[in-house]
Amino acid sequence: MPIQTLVAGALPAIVAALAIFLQPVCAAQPVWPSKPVRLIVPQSSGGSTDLVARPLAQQLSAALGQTVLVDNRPGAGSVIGTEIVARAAPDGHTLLAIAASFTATPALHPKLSFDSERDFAPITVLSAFPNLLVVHPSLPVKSVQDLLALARAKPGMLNYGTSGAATGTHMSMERFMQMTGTRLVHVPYKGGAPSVQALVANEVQVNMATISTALPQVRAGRLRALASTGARRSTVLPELPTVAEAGVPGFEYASWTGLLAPARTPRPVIDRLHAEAVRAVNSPDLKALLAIEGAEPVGSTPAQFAAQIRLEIVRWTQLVKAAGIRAD
Amino acid sequence: MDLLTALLGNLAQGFVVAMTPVNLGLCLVGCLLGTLVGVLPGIGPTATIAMLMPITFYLEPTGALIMLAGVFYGSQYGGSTTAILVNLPGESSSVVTCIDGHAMARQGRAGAALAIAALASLFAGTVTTLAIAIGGPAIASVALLFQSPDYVAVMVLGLVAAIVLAHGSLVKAMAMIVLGVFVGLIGTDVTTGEQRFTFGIDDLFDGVGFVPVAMGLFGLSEIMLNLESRAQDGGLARLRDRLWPSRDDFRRATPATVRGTLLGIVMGILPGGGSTIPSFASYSMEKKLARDPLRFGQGAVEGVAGPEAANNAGAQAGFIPMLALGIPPNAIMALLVGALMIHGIQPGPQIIARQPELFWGLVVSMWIGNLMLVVLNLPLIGLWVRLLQMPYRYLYPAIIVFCCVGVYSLRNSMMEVVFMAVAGVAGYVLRKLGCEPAPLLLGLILGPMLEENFRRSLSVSGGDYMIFLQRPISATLLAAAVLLLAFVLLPGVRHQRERLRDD
Repeated sequence: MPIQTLVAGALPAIVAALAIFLQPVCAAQPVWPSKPVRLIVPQSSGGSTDLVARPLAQQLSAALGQTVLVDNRPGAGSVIGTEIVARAAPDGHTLLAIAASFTATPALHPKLSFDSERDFAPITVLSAFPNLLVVHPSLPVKSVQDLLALARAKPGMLNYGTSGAATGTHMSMERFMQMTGTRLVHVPYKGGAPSVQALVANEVQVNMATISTALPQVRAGRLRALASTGARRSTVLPELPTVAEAGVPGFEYASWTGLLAPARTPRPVIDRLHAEAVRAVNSPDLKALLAIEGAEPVGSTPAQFAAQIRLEIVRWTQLVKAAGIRAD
Repeated sequence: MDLLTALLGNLAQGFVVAMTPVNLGLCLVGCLLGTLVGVLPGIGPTATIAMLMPITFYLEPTGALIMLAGVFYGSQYGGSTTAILVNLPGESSSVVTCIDGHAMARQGRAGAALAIAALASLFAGTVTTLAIAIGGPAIASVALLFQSPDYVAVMVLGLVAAIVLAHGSLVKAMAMIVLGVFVGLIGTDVTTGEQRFTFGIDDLFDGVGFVPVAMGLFGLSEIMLNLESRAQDGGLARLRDRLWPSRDDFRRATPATVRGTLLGIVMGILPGGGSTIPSFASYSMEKKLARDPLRFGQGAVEGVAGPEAANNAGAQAGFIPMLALGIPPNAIMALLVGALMIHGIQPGPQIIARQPELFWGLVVSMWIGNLMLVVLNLPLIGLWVRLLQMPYRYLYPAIIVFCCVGVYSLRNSMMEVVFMAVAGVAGYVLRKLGCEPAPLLLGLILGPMLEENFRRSLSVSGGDYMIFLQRPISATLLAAAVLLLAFVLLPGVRHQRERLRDD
């Protein structure tokens, strides 16, 4: 990294640090933020949400004149960290950066201590990324149609790997099977990396893997990508059709990362955070980072985000009932 | 010849990258920090690397990786220090080092144990670095040969070998393994997502962590036992005349180190392998191979050298699949993948060709780092041993505070501290009953992995148990497990063990 970038990168942090020290001296300070803001990431450091949250926190720190601290609270499929935000004071000093599993959680854990709709004020969807439908190269299928033909000819013969029961990779595959009337055997792994490794090793034949884990293997020719799962083609693999284009009209699955605050956080605070977050995800730095992951910036409005959450909760609840998935 | 020239060229390029003042400095910082978190119980490399991630935004990717890698293997060195001195594993991978390392310390040979641990780690680090340099991609492909049934066979062999870990009653050792497997059942079932034995407590959804249990079973229970015996202040460090290992120590430690290193490399590249399981495996192997296994648990130097070599080799071998395949085999490697992605580098099969300066710079820096660590650690031995002469009324509260801070930092959760406290009391009771904690911990690690892979094998085979015998790797390993079990159950061996217990 050239030295200019280094300085430019360090500058916001220094400004933020100075701001903390100078704060008592400044007479006319805004009501919010009056102290460092905690951005809870209910995932371990280095996970896909964390990778977006950290540069976001850095840019928000510079924009708000207050340090935004990333606080990793992993555990129980994001439930533990989410709960902390649900119970936090709605004063804009506690925020939540979360993955798409947020909307699947209510369907899977009926006894949650919080209400995923009522207890949160959505701010914006930060980024969205499709999954990739990948198969082992030895499998004699070159397209989604080939795969469907093989799966229909020999029901229950093909195995598909996932990052775990009731994760996005599982849910998207369940929906795929539901819409195509096929049956493949579910083989869950503990996380995305082992599931992709098992596919490379040909222990399972199919995976609807997150794009960031599957992409390097596809590029190295160790896996064959059949389609991406989003509504539009992926910008990193523009030649690859979507599942809908390839013969399953209406199929769409996109994972996302979103920013939320506790419910009843004041409107002006939400609006300010929305504006700053949208600006941050569209900055060249974050855009470039997202591109490596195969993700794209979104920046939807709070109302759009709220509608999306409502829709997805309904959809996952129906799917979970139909497929008989349980996590509780 | 061409291969050799290519290798030398690559290593030369690596030296150019690793020897820049900035990268040397970062390597040193990483190793220092690693030693520190290794020494401090509970605070592990995972939490430290997670905390350092934001700083690496401002570094060059190679420098960032060099520093973070230093933290990881540095912690393997540091972790043995507290294990030997106060029977408190600084890292989960130094749990087995407690057994004979601390026994050596009690005999006044803490210095020798620490030196052996450091030198065994250096040897393992050097060999592993060479292995990565020569055959990184080839070794990585071995990981792809292993499928679920093979893992099942590895785990079965591991559990059978765990019986060997114990040096008292066989029945009690087996009971401890089973108890460990039971504790491992707590949490979310991988196959169905069902909650088991969690009683609706969110913090149990992910199961009971290994680190708090290890801290409690070893460290806290040790403190309780010492307080009860009203041992003399500073009585732990009865310094004998020398800090350096004897010639006999070296003679016994050398073959153990070599075996531990090989074991560490092989197991480190497998997913979930990390550095903990190789250290257990090495201990079992050394005990099995020893002509006089009765010395184990009484301060056998092989029981320090083998596992310490294995955990360091395992830690560094984990870089092979991460860099060469782009598939992180454990949580720490996953973090490092994250650190690289922040810099726009996607680890994967092409990384060695596309980013040679990153790959070779890292490889060479690991060797330099290992050297730094030994230079750093050997002079410190005298200081560490002196630390033990600190009165218990200062030493024990300090240890407990560090344990609590470290365990809290695992998930930023108070529950982890509670788990540690419960494990501490349980460890005290178990040790009063003459049950050893090491087999329990191995059951806790291997049990869930065994179950997961067993059920996955059957999913893949459509319920056909023959899958375990059809695959050559699993068939061979299962046969080895049966042989080992038969050997352990032979009347002669059992009588010998029971005689020892009655003494």
